[in-house]
Amino acid sequence: MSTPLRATGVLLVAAFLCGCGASAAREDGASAAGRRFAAALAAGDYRAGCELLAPATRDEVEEDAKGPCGPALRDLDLPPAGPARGVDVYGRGALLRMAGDTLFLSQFDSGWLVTAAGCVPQAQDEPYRCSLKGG
Amino acid sequence: MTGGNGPDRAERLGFWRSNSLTLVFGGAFLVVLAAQAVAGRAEFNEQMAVAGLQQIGFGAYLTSSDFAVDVTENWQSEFLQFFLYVFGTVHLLQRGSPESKPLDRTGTESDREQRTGEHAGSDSPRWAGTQDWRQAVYSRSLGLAMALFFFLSWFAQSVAGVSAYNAERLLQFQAPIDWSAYLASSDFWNRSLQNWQSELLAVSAMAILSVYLRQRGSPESKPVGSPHSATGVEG
Repeated sequence: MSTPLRATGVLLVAAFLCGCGASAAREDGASAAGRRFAAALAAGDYRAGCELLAPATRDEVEEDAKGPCGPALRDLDLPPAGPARGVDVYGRGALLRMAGDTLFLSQFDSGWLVTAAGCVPQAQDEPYRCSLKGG
Repeated sequence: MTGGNGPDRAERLGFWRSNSLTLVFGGAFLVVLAAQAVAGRAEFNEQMAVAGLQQIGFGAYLTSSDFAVDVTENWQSEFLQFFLYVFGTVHLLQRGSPESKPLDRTGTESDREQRTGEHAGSDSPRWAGTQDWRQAVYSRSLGLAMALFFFLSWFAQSVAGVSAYNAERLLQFQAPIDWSAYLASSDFWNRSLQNWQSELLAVSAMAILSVYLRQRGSPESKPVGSPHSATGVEG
């Protein structure tokens, strides 16, 4: 019985650990990517901002504007994000609350990328309404 | 298991043969668990592809909450099934079923019938021969172990479940919820109840079908020629 018991214990602990949300490293990674995106927009560097968008989100921005990403991102006139207030990371996704904006991010091989920005909470349980989102 | 040839044949059986029930089912468990991981990862990556997000490797999926909740939601219901069955069959009867005790032996039975306390033999487990809390615990150890595994698995399901559920909510641009809110969520109860109903159906079907149907050579069945009315007889 000891081997199955040990295997059960290991799997339960693994379930507990992976269910406990994210490690600090992943929270830091998501938060840093969000702050870089906000800093790029604040500096007027929309090209750098576009580099930090997830591919599907970038496609959506370009399709909606029927033009290149940089000018389209500038025209969205996203609110100044300000300092980060808190981050939630689950699975491959993250929600970054900043003083003036809320961002959604997703983890890619190349790092964390923004999937939505300019997001405003709606009534309970409804999705955030976002000026910029993809997927 | 030894047929009619008695202990001599049992002693001649090697380790693998004499433990084949546990080994075969334990091995099959690992094979099916691996297959579940392969299918689960494929389904997970389909969802990521639809959302235009990064697909993940096998190792990442094995340590994901998505895989953990799918595994533990089934584990908890299996352990619940055996916990209820072990405890329930102490008092509940089914006339004609080999899964039931004889109709006149309901309850926890006497020390003589159970070989406990002063009726324990030299070959009885040590705690069976005691007359204190150790006998009380050992007398219920099978059911208690099942109950413990059930609660641990169910707890693991809830912890992995809230993580997987929140990951899905983030994909939908919804805010995550905390563990206590998840315990009241439809996702948690749908995952739990859909498994519980299937276990209860299987137990009740086994109890009643074994009255009328037979499986020659199986201890889960009555001998083929036993009358339908014979209760508590194993073949």
